Amino acid sequence: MIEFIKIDEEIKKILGIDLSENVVLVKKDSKVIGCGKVNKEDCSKTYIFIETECRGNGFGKLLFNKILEEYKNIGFADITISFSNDNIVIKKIVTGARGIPVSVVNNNVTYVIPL
Amino acid sequence: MLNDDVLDFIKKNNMDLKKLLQNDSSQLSTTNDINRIIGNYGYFSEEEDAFVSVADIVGYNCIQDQQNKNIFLNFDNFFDSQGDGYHSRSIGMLNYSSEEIIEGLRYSFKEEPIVVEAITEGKHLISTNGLHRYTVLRSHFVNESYGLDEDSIEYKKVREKYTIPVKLKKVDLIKTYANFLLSTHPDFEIFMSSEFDNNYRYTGRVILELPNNKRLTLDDDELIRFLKQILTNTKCSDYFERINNYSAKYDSFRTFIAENFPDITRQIMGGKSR
Repeated sequence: MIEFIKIDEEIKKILGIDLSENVVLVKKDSKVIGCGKVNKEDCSKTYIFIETECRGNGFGKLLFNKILEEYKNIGFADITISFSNDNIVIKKIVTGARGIPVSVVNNNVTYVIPL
Repeated sequence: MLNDDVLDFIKKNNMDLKKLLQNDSSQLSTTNDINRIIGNYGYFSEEEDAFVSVADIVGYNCIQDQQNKNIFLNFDNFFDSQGDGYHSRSIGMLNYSSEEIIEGLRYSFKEEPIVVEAITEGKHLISTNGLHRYTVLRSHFVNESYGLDEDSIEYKKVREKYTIPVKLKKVDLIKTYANFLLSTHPDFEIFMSSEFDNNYRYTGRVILELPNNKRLTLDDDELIRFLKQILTNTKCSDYFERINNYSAKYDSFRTFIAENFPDITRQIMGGKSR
């Protein structure tokens, strides 16, 4: 079973996490296997991580969609993401999230994802 | 390489691996193999429903430098019952025979459409969805069409058999080549992107971000006129030499230059007639 747990403000203060950041943990069968971070002021500081041995099972995609949900809740209408055109993992996740390509220069693509 | 699942698949389908590995149809292409400009600067249309033969799908778009440029040697990138979810989840499709595979995948064509990019005539590439299915379908196609004359009725029947519904994206050559010419211009940095409306649908226009923070929104005709101005005032011979080299290499780029910039084609082509 996959669960997403958002770290609350109290825990953020204890851990010294910037209050402008929302952190989401991914748990599978009660074990934390990854985390994601959303920055309310600067979405270039978004961060997603899934433990190596848990990859290839769609958890990154679920976490990414959870991150998008967080940005939507904050009030973003869309987000822009850039990556290498060769990065099939990110490309599949982004296109699966209805991302639309808007530019490509020297094999680096930029997508806009409506929220 | 060839793990047990793949070897089993090859054996079950009576594939002569030695012959098939050497067959041209087994070789995979990337976008850069077909057209390096499209590979690095390509703009594509929105997806549309289409039927495409696996005969015309010659590789994967999103794996640009494939470890093994052969469909059979790429199997373990997708199929491994001992691997992670990505590698084990589609093992079942290796159990279909060549007579069962199309019917076996029919439901998936609708539920999880295969996405294909049409790079040039007869050379399409799998995009983000359908890599596992393509790998299996292509290997069956290569096996069944082995040794057949492409003009023969038998070959046409095999082509037809492996014709599948897909979501097709076509190259927008004007925007692609304009993007290339602008992005590689020696004198200024002009960044091009697609314009989209409030519903996130492409409008067909592009936005150019110019030096001095200026922005222009242009349709295709306006984009060509803008490019013409730029090219007319460009003096850099290295730039034109690169254009000339790519024109020699890619028919569609040569046509784009000749059709849209006839007055300066001579300058671009270095005075050589074609």
